[in-house]
Amino acid sequence: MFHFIYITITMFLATMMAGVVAAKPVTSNAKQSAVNKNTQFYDLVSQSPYKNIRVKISFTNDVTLSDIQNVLHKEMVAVKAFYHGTSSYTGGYRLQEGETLEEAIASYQRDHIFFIKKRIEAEEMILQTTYDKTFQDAVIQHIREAVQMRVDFEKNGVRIIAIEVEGFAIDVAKFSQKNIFVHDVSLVTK
Amino acid sequence: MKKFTILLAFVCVQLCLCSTSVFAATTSCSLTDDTKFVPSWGKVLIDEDRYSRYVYQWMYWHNDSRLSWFGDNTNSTFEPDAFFYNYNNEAFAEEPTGYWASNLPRAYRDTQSFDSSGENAITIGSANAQDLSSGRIYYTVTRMTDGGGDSSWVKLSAQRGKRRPSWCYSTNCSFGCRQSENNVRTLPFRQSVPPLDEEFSAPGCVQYWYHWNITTFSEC
Repeated sequence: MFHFIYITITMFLATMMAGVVAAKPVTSNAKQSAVNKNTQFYDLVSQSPYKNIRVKISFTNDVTLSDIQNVLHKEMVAVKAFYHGTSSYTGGYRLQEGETLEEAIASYQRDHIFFIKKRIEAEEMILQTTYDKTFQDAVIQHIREAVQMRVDFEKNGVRIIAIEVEGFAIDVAKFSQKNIFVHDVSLVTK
Repeated sequence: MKKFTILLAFVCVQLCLCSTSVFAATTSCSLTDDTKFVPSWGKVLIDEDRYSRYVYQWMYWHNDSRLSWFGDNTNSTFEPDAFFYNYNNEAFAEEPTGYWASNLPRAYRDTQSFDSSGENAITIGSANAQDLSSGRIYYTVTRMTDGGGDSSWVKLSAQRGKRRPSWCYSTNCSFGCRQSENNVRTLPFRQSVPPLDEEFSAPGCVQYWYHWNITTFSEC
């Protein structure tokens, strides 16, 4: 019986490890960078450098959309999504099929301010339909936060904290290695 | 015969593991009642501009007791789902696209992987519902693709869940609870919502109060 279980488990582990074979190593710089950022990602880069992958790359500090645009133009990776946010809110923009980087950035900025304005309008309407003082105070506080978001946008634009990109593992590793603002790289499921 | 038995056992183990990872859209949770996690108040605004359709939701829990299930569960998640009626293939919306935003804790744009094709779910969820606070307004907004219809019924649902594994905060790690109460309808399909004398359908705007003194609806 134990022999039977042993064989079953061994066979299962063997299939799980299928594909874990020696592959062409990446450059030492790219490898070291990947080690620093994510072990799981590094393993993939080492084993399958030309595997097409999708990763979320988070930044050390937020950056402007134009900064991202300048950096990405020279890269072999394709951006699929942007993320923005602070400790009090978050959000992002997912590119549609066939949408260019320039189109996405223009739509992202347009929508960010459009939805802030829409929110302020809608929340001012809420105030007119409630008489609960605590609830009213919560709505007023929320409107203030939206006004602050509008001020931040007018001053700094949309500030990006992470992006999702797709490309060969080796190209993603090179991108993360040469851009000092990259903080972490993690694999994402499509 | 022995080889056959081993092979059979192997296939069973593989199938079992695959079914856990691929089809496990729900998870086990403690029992609770709706007043321990469903928002006390909510509002939905569904509209379109020249770029696309969009859905805005707001929600509010008026005291800590209304959030107590989340507070008691460190890896709790919350999804305020908006379902668009699609049994006739004429839903107002199909899936989220482009811009999204929220102030829910650890907000994520939900996947439609395990959803029924009869109801198109559009959801921005919270991967850390334990951090929700009473007395604060929360919102979600996202643009959506056209579902093929000019108008359709809409259902709002409050879903509690858990992160599996607990350290993962992505959309793929949030699973709805199997146990009741869950998926509580704060705005039902095809039902006159009192005191409004008609069913709510998109595009449109409605507010609900759920067991906050009473359960009722109003225009925006």
